[in-house]
Amino acid sequence: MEAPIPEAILWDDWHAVAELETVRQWDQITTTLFGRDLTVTDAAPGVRIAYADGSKTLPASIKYGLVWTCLGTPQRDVIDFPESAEPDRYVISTGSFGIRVSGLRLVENFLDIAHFPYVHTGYLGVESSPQVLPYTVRVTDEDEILVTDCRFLQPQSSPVSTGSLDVGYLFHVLRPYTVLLKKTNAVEPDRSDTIVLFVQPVDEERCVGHTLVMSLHAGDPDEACRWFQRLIIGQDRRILENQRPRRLPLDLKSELPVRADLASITYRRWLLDHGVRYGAIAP
Amino acid sequence: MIELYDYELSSDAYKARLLLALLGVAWTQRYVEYYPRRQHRAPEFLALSPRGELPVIVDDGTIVDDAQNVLVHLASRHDPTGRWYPQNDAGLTSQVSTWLAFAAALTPTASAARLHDGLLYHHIDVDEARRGAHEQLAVLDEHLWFNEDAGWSWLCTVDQPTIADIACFPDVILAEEGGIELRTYPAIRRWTDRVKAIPGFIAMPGIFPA
Amino acid sequence: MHGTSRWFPVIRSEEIVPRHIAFVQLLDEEIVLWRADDGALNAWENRCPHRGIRLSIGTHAGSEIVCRYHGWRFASGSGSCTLIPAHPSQVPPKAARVRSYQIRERYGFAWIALGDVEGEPSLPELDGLPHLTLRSMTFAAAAADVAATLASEPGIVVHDPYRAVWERMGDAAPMLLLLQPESSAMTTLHAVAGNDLTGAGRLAFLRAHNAWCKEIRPRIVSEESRSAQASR
Repeated sequence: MEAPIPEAILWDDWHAVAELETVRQWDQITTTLFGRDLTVTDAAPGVRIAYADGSKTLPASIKYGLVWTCLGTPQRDVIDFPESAEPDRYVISTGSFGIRVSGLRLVENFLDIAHFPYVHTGYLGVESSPQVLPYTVRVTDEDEILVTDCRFLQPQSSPVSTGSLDVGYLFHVLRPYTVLLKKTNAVEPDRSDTIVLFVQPVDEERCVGHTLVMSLHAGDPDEACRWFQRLIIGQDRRILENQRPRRLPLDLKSELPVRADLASITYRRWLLDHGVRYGAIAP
Repeated sequence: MIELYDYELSSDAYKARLLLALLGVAWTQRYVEYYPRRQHRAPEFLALSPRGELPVIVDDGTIVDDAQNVLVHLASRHDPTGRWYPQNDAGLTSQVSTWLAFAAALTPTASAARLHDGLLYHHIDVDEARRGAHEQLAVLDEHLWFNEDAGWSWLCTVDQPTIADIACFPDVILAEEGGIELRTYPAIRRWTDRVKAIPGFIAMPGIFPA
Repeated sequence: MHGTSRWFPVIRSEEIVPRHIAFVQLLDEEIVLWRADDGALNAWENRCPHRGIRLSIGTHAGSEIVCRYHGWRFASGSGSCTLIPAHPSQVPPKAARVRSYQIRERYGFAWIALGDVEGEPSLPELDGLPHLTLRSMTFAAAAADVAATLASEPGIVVHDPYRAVWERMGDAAPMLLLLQPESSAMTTLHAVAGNDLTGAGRLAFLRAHNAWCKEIRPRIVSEESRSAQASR
């Protein structure tokens, strides 16, 4: 049976499907996007992407150390981040991880600070300080979600932290499967590091999370940064795979929200307004 | 000091970290990025350990590889009580060996399924890996059930945990990350609770603390 | 759903050990069973009402279960949330409550009914007798397929889709075989015998039953292949 075609807003967009480094290592890898098996083949300096049954070659793009494709007709480019050009930043992809849950659930987890003390104990939070203070959420004129005024006490906010820090956070949902955060740099507290999550929807109940870090040289050495991001997503993964249902319910009454969930509520409503149903449960 | 060639998501490297923590032995980390950079197959690492697998320890100049062998080494050299690797009772030593071999046999099954699902090892036959894991888990659950019935809490018939428990625990509890549910193995679930309750237990991503 | 108005054994009582969160499934519903430190037994939907995380990965805190995701705490008995750590001064809303199921302990098992049920779990064949529960075994097959295999065994009389009695030569008392339909493709077989064997005799009895369960496993076949066999 042919896999369902998702809404145009998803189908006609670019999606990260592999790390370039992994494709170069293996010469060819297989992966799945929207339930369709793809092969990604090393064709240095580029890559070749096609349906695994050979039926069609697909557009391919390389950016941020990731390989991108679009199954439909691209209506816009791969997102550009101005800070990726700042000379004193690392721009590194820190690994791609498969998670058996809807990609929308993974985005929602990224927007959630209330889980830090319990899932990332000793790193992004402590159980003795779980309180979530009020923060601000709005949908911008560009039709993106912006979460501001978040503060959270973190024992080890990054691999180079030397002690607890009251960390300021900003979250920004740019597209249904693209979300970033900016957080206070542990060495230069008046500047911030950017971490982007690109979600690859494998199917409606499975995804791959690709993480991109754009952090200040003064802060994270490359190796420690990669270690830290893997640790965090490794901790999230086991939680998310135990979430039921695996798809994201868009009916706001089906899972009981509290004030700390304002970002998640806004995201669900925004998906609803944009007609996104793939990987979701319609009200 | 002991140097451990380590990767935070490796179930085999975690066996070494866990036993080091339980023994209270200090160590330093030598970081090897298994995925995605495959540094365990890079020339520098192969020069240390031609097998190209994690973990490897260097202890006072001695290089020890293979996860189970690392446990044997650490317990033999750094556990003055001798309880983690009992060697003065041939029957018991043999039981430990049996379960160390069982632990090693989880690599192409439960561990492989987890690499496929989580670390995107696309070339692994995941259905075959899961099928093999279920056969092994059925054996383990039965063994633990009858041990419990006889009053034993651990894999071996002794009143404290051994390196057999440490060797089997990681790939068994992480099997769920390879799509292998433990619900139908209730004796295994109770045993994983007991392992987590050992004083000095440490967790890793994918394994929750007690 | 079919089967909701009846009691099913889901686990041997003694396997719900202190501070453990047991995890079972009945008619596609995932359920956690846990005993509070005061002895009260709870059977809950395996799902935190906040963000749907399974409580089987939670922690048992004595009289509460703590969700692994955001630390919400749920009380033994009511299933009501007692604390939302993100908002520690706020009284948790009434709706923050885990769904619980009716539960009984009899004949050495915990029994659950998903819906309205009349009466209590009952095994009249064992009344007045001691009972020895045996190791339960899960099969990747529908309850009807397991029952069909049981019916083909000498000495076993299948009474209803989920219950059979085994009168064996040499045994003073019967053994009851009880089916727990986990889903349409998975069934757990529980067994309890009306004896009070001890020591080596008891262990031999447990081992023999366990071996028999493994022996019948390959003989359990789907209804389609049964009817194909019959029409041949």
